[in-house]
Order: sequence, then C-alpha cells, then structure tokens
Amino acid sequence: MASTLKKIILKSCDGKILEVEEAVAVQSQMIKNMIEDDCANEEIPLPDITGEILSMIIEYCKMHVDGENNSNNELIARDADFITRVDLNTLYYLIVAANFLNVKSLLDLTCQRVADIIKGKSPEEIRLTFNIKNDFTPEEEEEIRKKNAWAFDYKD
Amino acid sequence: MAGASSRVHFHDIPDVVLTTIFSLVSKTRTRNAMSLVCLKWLALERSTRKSLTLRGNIRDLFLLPTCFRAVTDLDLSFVSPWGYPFFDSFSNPHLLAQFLRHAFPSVVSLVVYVRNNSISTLHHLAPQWPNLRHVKLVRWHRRLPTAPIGSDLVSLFEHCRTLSSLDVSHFYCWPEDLSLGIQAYPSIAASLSHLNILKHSSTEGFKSRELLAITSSCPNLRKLLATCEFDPRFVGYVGDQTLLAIASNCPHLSLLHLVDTTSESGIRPDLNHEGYTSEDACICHATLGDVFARLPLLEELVLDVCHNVWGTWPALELLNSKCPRLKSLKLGHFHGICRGIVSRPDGIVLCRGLQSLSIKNSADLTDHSLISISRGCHILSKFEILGCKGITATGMRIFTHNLRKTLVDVKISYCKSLDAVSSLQALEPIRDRIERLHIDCVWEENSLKKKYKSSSSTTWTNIQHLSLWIAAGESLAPLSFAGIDDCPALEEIRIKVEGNCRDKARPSTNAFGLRCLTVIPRLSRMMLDCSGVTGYAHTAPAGKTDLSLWERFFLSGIQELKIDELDYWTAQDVDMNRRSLFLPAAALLAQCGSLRKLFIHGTANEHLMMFLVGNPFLRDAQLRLNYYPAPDDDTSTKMRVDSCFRFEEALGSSSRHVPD
Repeated sequence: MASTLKKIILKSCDGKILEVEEAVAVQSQMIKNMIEDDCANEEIPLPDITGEILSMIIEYCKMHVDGENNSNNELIARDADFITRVDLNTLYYLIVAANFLNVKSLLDLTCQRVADIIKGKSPEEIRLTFNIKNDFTPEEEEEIRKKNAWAFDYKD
Repeated sequence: MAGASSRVHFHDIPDVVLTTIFSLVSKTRTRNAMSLVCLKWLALERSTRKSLTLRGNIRDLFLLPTCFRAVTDLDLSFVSPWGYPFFDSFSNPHLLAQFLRHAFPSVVSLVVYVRNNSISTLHHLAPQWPNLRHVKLVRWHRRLPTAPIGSDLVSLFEHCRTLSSLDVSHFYCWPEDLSLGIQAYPSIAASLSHLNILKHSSTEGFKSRELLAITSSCPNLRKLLATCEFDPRFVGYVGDQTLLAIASNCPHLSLLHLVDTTSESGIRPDLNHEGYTSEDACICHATLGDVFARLPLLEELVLDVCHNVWGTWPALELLNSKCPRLKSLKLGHFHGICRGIVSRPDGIVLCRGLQSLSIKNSADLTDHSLISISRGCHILSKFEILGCKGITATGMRIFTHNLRKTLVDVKISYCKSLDAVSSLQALEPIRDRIERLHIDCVWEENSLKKKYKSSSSTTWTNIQHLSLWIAAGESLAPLSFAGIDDCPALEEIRIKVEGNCRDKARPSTNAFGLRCLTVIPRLSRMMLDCSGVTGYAHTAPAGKTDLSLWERFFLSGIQELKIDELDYWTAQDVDMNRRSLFLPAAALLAQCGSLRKLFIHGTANEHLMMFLVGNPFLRDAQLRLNYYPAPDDDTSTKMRVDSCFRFEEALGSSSRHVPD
C-alpha cells in the first residue's frame, strides 16, 4: 500500500509544479511507463501542457480513481458533466495533452465530445464552429455531392 | 484562460487523433457534410468511412466512384429496384463484379440480396473479396424449387474460405439448404464464430436433428441465433436433450438465442387467458441447469419457448452461478422464475449482473416477484414485460422506482392489468430518464377519465424512441391526455396496428389521429405498420368498409407531420393475396411535403407511385418486402421492373434537385 501514497511531481510548461498521488498519475500510460522505467523520481517536465490544462487532467484522473467503486452509470454522468463544462479551445488543449500523456479514457471522452459537436451540422456550420476555410471550388463541391449520393443513410 | 489564450486551431490536433474523431461519426448525412468542409476534411472523411450502404439504380453501377476505398462493410441490398437480381441487366456480370471490387477493395463484410436466377449473384461476387469475414444474405422471394439444395451457400463457401460470420435471418431458404451447405464445408464450418439462422422470412423452424448437425459442424461458435420447433407435438421437436447437446457441441457460446417458430408470428394471446399453454415444453429445470453448466462464457441468453416450462427458479440460480458473465436474458413461458419472498431472494433475483431482462408469458409472476427482481437485478437498464397478467401498476411502479438510476428502456405489452394510462403512471419514477418505451394503446375509459380530471402536463425529458401497439379501429387521440404530451427529444415513433377490419363496419372515429403527433417537435421518423390489419381489398359487402377507406383512416393527418422518413406497411387482404397501396393513401402520402425517404412494404401501381414525384424533398422511395419485384408468373401485382425504372427516372430527374 505504501507505493500508492507515493507522490509524483509534474511541471507544466508555464512553470507550475503539481504534486500528484501515484495512483492518480498512473492513469497516464506515459507516466506509468516512466515510473516502471524508474525515471519518475524527480519532477517530470511536460513541455506542451499549461498548468491550467494539467490541473484539469489531474482533476479528471482523480475523479476516475475515486470513482472506481461507483457504478458505471455514475462515472458516465460525471464524465459528461466534466466535458460539457469545457469550451472548444480548452477541448483542443485537452486532446493534445491527453494524447501526449496517453490517458486513454480522457482521449476517448474528448474525441467523442468533438464528434458530438460535429454531429448533425451542415458543412457551413462545421466551418463556422471550427473556424475552417472552405478551399473547394463550386465545381469540386458539386462533384463531392454527387459522390456522396451513392451512400444511403438508412438504419434499421 | 492563462496559457490557453494563445488559440489553437482544430487542425493542430495530431492527425492520428483526428482520424479517431472522424471514425466516431457514423451517421451518413453527417459524414457527407464533413466531406464538404475542406480538402483536409475530405481526405480524412474518405479514409475513415468504413461502412457504406450503396444507394442508386442497378443500371448506373458502372458510374460508381472509387473514392470510398476504405469501406470494409458494404451493403448492396438497398440498390434499386429493390430485390432485383443483381446481375440480370448486364451482359457481362463478371466485369461488373470486378468493378465493384475496384471501387471497394477493402470489403470484409458484405450484405447482398440474392435472388434466384440463372446467373447466381454470389457466384460472381464472392470471388471478388476472398477475405470476406462476414456475409449477410437477404431474400424475401420464393426459393426456386428447381435449384439444387444448398446451392447458394455452396457458391459462397466455395470462394470465401475465411468466413467467420454468416447471417441468413432474412434469407428465404429451407433448413436443409443450410445444414447441407454447412456440412459440405467442414473447414469453414469449424471456423464460423457467428451464425444467425433466425427465420424472419418464413414460419419454418429448425428441427432438433438439423440443429445438432449444424452445431456439431461448428464447434467454435461464439454466437448462435436460431428459430426452432419447441412444440413437443411435432416430430423432431427441440427439447432439453437437444439443448444439452448444443451446449456440448459449442462450449464457447457467449450468445445463445433460441426462439420458437410461433413466437414471431405476432398472434397476441387472449388477455383473459390464464397464461398457461395447454402443452408443456419438453424442458425440465434440472437438465436446463446442466445446459448452463456447460456454457460458462454465456453473456446473452434467449429461450423464447411457446410452451410451459415449470418451476424454473433452481435452474436460474444455476444460470447465475455457472455463467458469471450473463448480462442479458429473455425467457418465454418460463413459470416460477422466482418465488417472490422478499426476505429470501431466489431464482432470477440472484442474477445481479443482468443489464437487460425480458419476461414473456410468465403466468405466475406477481407484483411481489417483480419487486424482488428490482432489488436483486439492481443494474437493469432494459426491461420488457409481456403477457404477465399478474402484474399491476402498483408493482410496476415500485419496480421502476427501485431501478430509477439505471432503467432507460422499457416495454410493457399485453399485460391485462396495465392499460395505457396505468402503464404510463407506473413509469412516473423514471419519466425524466427513460429513452425508449413501448406501451399498448389500450384505452380504459375509467382510468382515462380519472387521468383527464387530474390533467397536469407531463414531460418525458429524454425519450427518443416511442413504440405503440393499437387495435385496428381505435384512435390514437387519447394518447396526449393518457400521459404522453410533452416529449422534447422524441425523434422516432413506431406504431403497430393490428386487427381484423372485416369484423367492423367502419372506424369508430373519423381519423386514426396521426394529427395528434404534431405536438412532438422533433419527430422525424415514423414506422407505421398496418401489416397486421386485414380487410376487404376491393369492394366490401354492404355495411362494411373496404381497405382503401381504412387506409385513408390510418394515414389521414400524415400530411401535417414534419417527418422526413416513413416506413409504411400496408394493410392486407389475405384471401385476395393483396397487400398494396390504394388511391387515398397515395394522395395523402403525396401531400406529406417534408418526406425525404419513403419505404412502402407492399405493392403499388405505377401511376400511384407517380403521385409521389410531386413531393419536393423526396429523394428515395422504395417498394419492399416479399411482393416486389413481382415474380414473372404473378399477375396480381402491378409495379414491375420497367415501371420502377420509369419512376426512379422521374424522381431523380434534373428538374427536381433534392439537396443532401
């Protein structure tokens, strides 16, 4: 049990230092690997992650460690609550960080959130939401539309 | 936000993560929209489009684009004319088959309509994708009696040596076609892990001998679904010894789904019947326990028997201890599933891991047993109760109250003491959580009146899918004051109408009441199933009403709904062998201006179909089911392949541009 109380020290790119219990930190596969390779005895610098994002990720990991004994539904509800509070820009940062730290459940959650945002939108709405420039000519667009018409949208 | 103030762009996310995000979107229309955003999105979308249901006319297949090269799951069964032999209109079918492979090189899962004809579809298609793992065959047409037994499967097995999953549940064939085909290719049979031989397209079930032959050839099955003959009065019935042998033959089963032939027939039992059948199934609970002991990996079990299975609680206790992974259970005519003693949980109550439970025709199930179940099976998210006359609204209400944290999917059907109003009242504790619901629209005047007096608006916050059963001639209108009036998230509704119109002079009201659904703000898809309605197809005798007027009754009001997808099963005249659309119905459908997709499960005359060309947004209209295209020797149906081509041409003409 002693090992679970061990603290891991993380350093964000803007110099914030955070102390995290090992049980929480190993939610990140990357940190887990480092601990196993015995490279986590000193502070771990995280070059692309700001303190703000890092503390959000830690909050999320804590929630999952604490919630392990709860029912699946409860955790899903908490996840949903966590992710809907996040704005789009922060969401991008969370994705990049979750990918870097390899926190699989958070990466899944954030990706699903983006997919949910895309769902049901028209191309123009998507461009507006994600600030994307249309680089198609009208002819190209028409061509794609024609090809898309080969797909049936039907569910049983 | 500190640090986050420097804005990142969506495209700064690593490509591998973007690919994951794109893969999470499955809806075709959203995917289509995504492909139109920009070049980067187009490339990402195409490389992650794994599944495609091909749309379009068989004649145009040579124009197929080659941009969907990542597709692994291909469904060819929707190509129109629906059900038409795939290669019949081509002089060089082999070339077309190669063309399909060229367009979709990565296919591992294929769904295809296989019509009997001189040039077999599978003979050409199967060799194109030697790595096919999953195949689903579809056929509603008669199997050609002259074709050799098992010939369809032979041409499949001959070329697809890596097959691991086969689904013939919608494939009209004879049981011997299947057992023979499987036995002829032992190495493929041995590698099959998933076999679906339910019979949705015919009323025949597998006999004990056939099931044993199939399962002994397929020892590695993980999933087996089959329609079988449990009735002990028939030669070759399936009894507990057969179940035991199946379990020994396929010890790795995680899903076992056995349904009696009469279960799907849709005949509703008499509500006043005591609930026991006159015959007992040859299934004793002790042997059943041994069956479970041999299937330790079981996760889903369906034993939908149509004859009494007595005193099953000890077997269900064994089910719990021997099959620790069990998540989903459906039982038909199992009596004594628990004894309902609150202080001593037993039987099914001990199955604490169940997430989905369906109890059908358990005649001695009481409110007490139900309450015990809700305490034991404490994480149920789906629950169905059918034909249990001992259950009252009180028991059901305590049940939903105890499970209010997890229960989101409920079906209550033909339970004598649960009419529409009391069913809805019993669901009160989960009204803000439930997502899918089925109830029977049985209107009890007294409870309706009572409910009407206490009328308060009730909101079903999360309900997305609503399914209703209603007797022919009854009206939907009381639905709103029975307790369903505010469903902000409801998108899909299924209505099953059933009954014999020959007994009735005329409908009790002017209209069925589809108009009352206009209050549902997001309703976009409707399935209106009148296939269980029978009546007089042509002129009715004096004092009776013919089907064309009945159809007008059912459909009137549809023009006011803002739905974009409609599946409509026409009523039928069994004696005249007719199941078709009549003039009033065609006119009403033509006025439903928001329709994008229409599937008529029946036949129609070409000139009636042409009414629909006027619908401004209609993009797809298909005639489906076993009636179309008409067999060449059938003169009772009118819409033929040529008429279908003409109709599609009119629908797809350039003067009518329907945006995606």
